[in-house]
Amino acid sequence: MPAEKPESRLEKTVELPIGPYHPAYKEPEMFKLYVDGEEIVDAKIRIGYQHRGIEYLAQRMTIQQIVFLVERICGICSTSHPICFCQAVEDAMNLEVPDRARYIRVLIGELERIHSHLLWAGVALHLIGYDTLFMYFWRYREPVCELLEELTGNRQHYAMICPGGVRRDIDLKKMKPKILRVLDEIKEPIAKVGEAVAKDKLVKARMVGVGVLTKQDALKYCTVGPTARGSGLKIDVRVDEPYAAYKEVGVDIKVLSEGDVMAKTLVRVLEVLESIEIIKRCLDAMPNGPIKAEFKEYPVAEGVGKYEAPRGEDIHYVRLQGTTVPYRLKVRAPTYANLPSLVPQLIGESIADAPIIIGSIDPCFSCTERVSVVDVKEGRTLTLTMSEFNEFGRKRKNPLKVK
Amino acid sequence: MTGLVTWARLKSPWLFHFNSASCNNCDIELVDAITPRFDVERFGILVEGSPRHADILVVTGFVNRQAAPRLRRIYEQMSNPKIVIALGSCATSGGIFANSYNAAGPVDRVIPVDVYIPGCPPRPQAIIDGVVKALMKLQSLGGGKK
Amino acid sequence: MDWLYIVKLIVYVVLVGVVAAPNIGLFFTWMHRKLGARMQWRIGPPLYQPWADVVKLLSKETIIPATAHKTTFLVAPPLAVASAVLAIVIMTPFAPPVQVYHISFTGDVIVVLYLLTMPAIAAMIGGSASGNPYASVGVQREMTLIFAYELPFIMAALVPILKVGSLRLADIIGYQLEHGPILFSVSGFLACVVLIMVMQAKLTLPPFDIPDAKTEIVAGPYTEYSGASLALFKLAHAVMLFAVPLFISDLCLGGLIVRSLSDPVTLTLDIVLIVVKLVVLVLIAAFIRFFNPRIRIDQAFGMFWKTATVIAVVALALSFVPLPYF
Repeated sequence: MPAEKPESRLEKTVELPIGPYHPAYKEPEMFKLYVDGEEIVDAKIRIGYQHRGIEYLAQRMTIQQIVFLVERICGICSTSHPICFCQAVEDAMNLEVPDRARYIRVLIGELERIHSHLLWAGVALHLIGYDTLFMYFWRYREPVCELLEELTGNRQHYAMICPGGVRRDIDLKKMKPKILRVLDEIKEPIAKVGEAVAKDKLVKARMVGVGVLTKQDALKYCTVGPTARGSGLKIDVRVDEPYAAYKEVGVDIKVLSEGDVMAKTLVRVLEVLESIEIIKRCLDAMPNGPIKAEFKEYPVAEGVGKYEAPRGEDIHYVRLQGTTVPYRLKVRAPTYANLPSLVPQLIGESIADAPIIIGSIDPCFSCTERVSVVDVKEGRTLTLTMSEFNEFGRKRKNPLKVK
Repeated sequence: MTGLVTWARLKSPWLFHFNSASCNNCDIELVDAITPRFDVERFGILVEGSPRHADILVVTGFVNRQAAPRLRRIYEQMSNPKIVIALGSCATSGGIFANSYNAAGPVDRVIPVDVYIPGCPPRPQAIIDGVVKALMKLQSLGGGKK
Repeated sequence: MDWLYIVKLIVYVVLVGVVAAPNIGLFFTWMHRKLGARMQWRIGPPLYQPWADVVKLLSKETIIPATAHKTTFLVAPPLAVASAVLAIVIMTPFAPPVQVYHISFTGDVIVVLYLLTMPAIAAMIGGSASGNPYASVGVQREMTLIFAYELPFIMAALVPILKVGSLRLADIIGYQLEHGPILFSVSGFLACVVLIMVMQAKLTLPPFDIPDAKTEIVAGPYTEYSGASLALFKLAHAVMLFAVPLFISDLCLGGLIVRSLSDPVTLTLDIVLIVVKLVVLVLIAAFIRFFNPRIRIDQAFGMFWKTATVIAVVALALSFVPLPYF
């Protein structure tokens, strides 16, 4: 519950900046924490350090090029954005993706979820100073990265997706035993260490009861992903609005109700184990067939794609204008929805817990840095200066209506 | 005496990592380099928390306008001799974001760069190779800048 | 004035303080890093690594930040190293009957107790002189931590003192030579447990590396230090890795004593024991370090004021019992 901040208390407080370039996080962000001794009395979050002008660039690229652009929104959820974007395009074009392509998307997406959660688990434990387990988790992440390299050609940034399907096929006869072997290799150690983390006395001292996000707050702040599922909300785009092959493959949503950092950690560990099962089911059920649906026309239409990224619900909105270059792309990444919920989680906690609380929502600031760039007068090319750009944010123009 | 100092500098390169609007992939591959599979601590490489403690500044990202003045400040905070490595395609040339309105980079428009490691992302092996080349440059410069 | 004695004393101080202490300390630093690496499925740095680190730092430019108070900023690191080295010099490794340089004096235990706290205080002085918010938080934490562990430390150190009835290290070691190490008694064992807990905090190692928390406050009190000043702080830390286990060894494990220089069998045995005692303590510190996360300062405070103090009080009480093995 957010604490009252009497003015006199704020006067005594020290402003401790975490960021923008803090060794704890690999990405820049700015949290202004008002601390009284070791206790946080207020928190202000300022983002914008990762801003790269992606939506602006998207208005100058063809749809196929945009797939590579959005892939580089974030390195960790590197296939979430392309799949989501392609789903938006396919929604706009009313394009039906062939079955095999849908299953391959599930396969790559779930492998990415495993590697992202293991990465996060390592980083989270590093944040509380437990470097040995950080090394442990990353050690078991390596086989997954190498597997992805064998499947797709790159450890991250797989470049597998295109509008209408996937770009490359997977030779199941060769790869299936390899995939199963890697999955078996990591399943036991992850389950074991997940239990150890849940039971270790000192880890519990740092994680249990820390950074609690109550169910009401989670609903109020519209949190998504494991952050919400750790607070008792049973939401998951793969089940609520199934896409790709999830309706056939099925997902067992993991929910915990405590809402503290430990709950969020355990939700992610359980999701890794669930992803392993999903991949196995997906491999068993994968049909043969084409991997890409061709399209000839670029209609004037708009489409929305939703995807359950490792961090939560990712939404892409695209508005096509009849040419290869879209009129507008809008991305709402999951961390953007989860960031405001940090304020109730941080207030009242100790400054020492701030990194792990912030880390517990699995913040991906690369995904988050979106600011709208809207062409008000059509046909006019805007070269925005910093001040013009800020002006736009202040005026809050309405989104364009569909003609 | 100089031989001893040069040897020490080659054997103990401490890195400071700066993310100037990167998609994070290069950063993850950098962190990957300290994990058991690659383990760069064998070469004495440590990733430090304070720029004042480091010899090598590793910059990822295409340097957007918020990052540029801060990058310069971090560079100035480091004590000599120091080396700068531009990690990834974005740091080297701006990458896919080169035409963005928010670009103030790439890195060599903001601070002097010694080694460029291209790749999207560069593999940990490439990063290690780049750091080794940086060290060789340090050696040939007779101990780095200034 | 016996000039020969003074010359021998100076040679001894130089040999132990300037030659042996830093090098053994750096060796233990390497041991920690190598052990940690192996425990984490890695290979770890080569043997010469800590020396390379120190030489490299010495060769770098020392920047004094504009917000810093110049003199204090520069005085803190040498202060840290000097106290740690002096502590080792005073903790005479050799005691009767082999008297090499018997510089132990009454009250030297108290002096060593103070000297072993000085590096932490020097870190606080340096951190406060830095003018950096991360350093301030680090100083605050260091202060709280010292406040937490000093009392159990002194109480645990009192146990051997009370048992022996003397404030002289040489006497304590002599007592242990006759009656066996203080560890082999209940009160001594408990005192040793408390001393090991405190050792972990004095060396700012996990779970008590709170002032140094890299992911929370950059580098704590050392954030603004660079070049030679930082090298001295790192050296102080390395020497402490030797000094604190040496102190514990002197108090509870019988010290690093050689009973006779003439008999080769006992000589070898004693040398092996010396190495084993120190190495075991270093290993314990390393194991606790690599298998624990960092705890919060309030939790550390609780641990010392509740658990450690209680055990120390029990140890003190038991040390008064005149029965053997108590």
